Amino acid sequence: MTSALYEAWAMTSDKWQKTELAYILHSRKYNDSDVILELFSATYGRVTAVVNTSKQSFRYEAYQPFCPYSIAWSGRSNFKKIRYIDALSQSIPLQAQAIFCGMYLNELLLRLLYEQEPQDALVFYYQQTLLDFASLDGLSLGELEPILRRFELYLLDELGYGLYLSDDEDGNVLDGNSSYQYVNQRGLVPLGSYLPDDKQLIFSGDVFKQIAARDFSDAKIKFAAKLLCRKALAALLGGKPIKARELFKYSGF
Amino acid sequence: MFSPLIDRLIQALKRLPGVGPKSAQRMAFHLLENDRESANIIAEALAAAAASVNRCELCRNLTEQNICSICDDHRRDKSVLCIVENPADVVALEQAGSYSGLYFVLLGRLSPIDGIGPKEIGVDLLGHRFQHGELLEVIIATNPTAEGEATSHYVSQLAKRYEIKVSRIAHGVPLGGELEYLDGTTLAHALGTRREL
Repeated sequence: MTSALYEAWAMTSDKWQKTELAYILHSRKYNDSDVILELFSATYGRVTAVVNTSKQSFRYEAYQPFCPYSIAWSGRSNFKKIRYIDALSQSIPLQAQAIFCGMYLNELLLRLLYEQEPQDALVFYYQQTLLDFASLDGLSLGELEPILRRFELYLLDELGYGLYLSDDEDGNVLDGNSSYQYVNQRGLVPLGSYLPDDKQLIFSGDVFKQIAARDFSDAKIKFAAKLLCRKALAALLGGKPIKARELFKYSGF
Repeated sequence: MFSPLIDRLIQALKRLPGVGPKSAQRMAFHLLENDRESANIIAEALAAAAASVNRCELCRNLTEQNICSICDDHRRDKSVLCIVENPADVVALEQAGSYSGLYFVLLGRLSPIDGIGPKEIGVDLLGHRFQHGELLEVIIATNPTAEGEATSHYVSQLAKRYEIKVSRIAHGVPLGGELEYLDGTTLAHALGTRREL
């Protein structure tokens, strides 16, 4: 069925929802003909769906991550059935380290997003992040890291666990020269009023202000932001770390 | 409906890829009704293979010896190593007949979401091979999927640490194929990696 015909038909059908922009976060073979897709869509957030690849119309699709798809599915349970899938464009060409970063994003989203909770802004931010990765020439980690940090901070904001870095926990404006420690669920605590549990996360007010402004030009800020994001995400991920981090072993990440 | 032994046989056959309940039932009845001799041959071959086939200590391919026949063949070029995802890829490359170096089978590809990281694809053994082998070139023949590309990049980083030349098999238009039926991504890739004549 051509795309235009489908659109016209889908408008009149109440059984399937309209086609939807979605990215495949992960795909795995269920049996010889069925592939289970973990999708990240704008209106429905994370959705799990199965596609029967023995059908003529689904046979030649590659089901690759980092590629925008137009997808429609049906089904009332959490496990949907793909009715229509078509790549909207080519895969976003991620090279070298950028593929690792893309895999890291996908694992993070798969672990942290709730099923079928709308995330329209996040999908577009995800898409932009992938495009930013693809647009880099040198692909050095120095360039990739700030993009990753911005995504992590944005994701935390969207999930409702955003880091509040402009004031300390009592609402006082940060003093650039004083030291603060970041404590999960409390925020920034002035050093002295709290016994540090993690000495790595003590930085000056200036460092936190620059992270809040998403300014990662300085190597020291980059390092502080990495530790801060890791700590904030670890609290949400539970005891199981992100496996994709192992890929960066030879990258000095 | 079936007696316990027949039911057990059908259930066992169903475990094979591509075999559903109907095919399993057909196979079971064929073996029991018409071809008892084949049934015994299959049973013996399966039991013997399952008991003695292991992984080659050098390349992780399937073999009943400690070192497989390819790694043990002194006529093969020991300075080139081709890295593939599965034992079936070794068979495909051997059938193509144009490669005479050695292989290394990863038994998978990097897929962190599935819990497959560098350790699971035998990077330790591969690193040891890079360090102590007489390798001059590593050819990476993982599949052209996102996961295959990630694996390729990881292995190439590892090989470059030991200053070994790394190459990747080409992807593009299949021989005898027609451009008009090719998907855009493959075509774009084929154009991007064109070569001068």
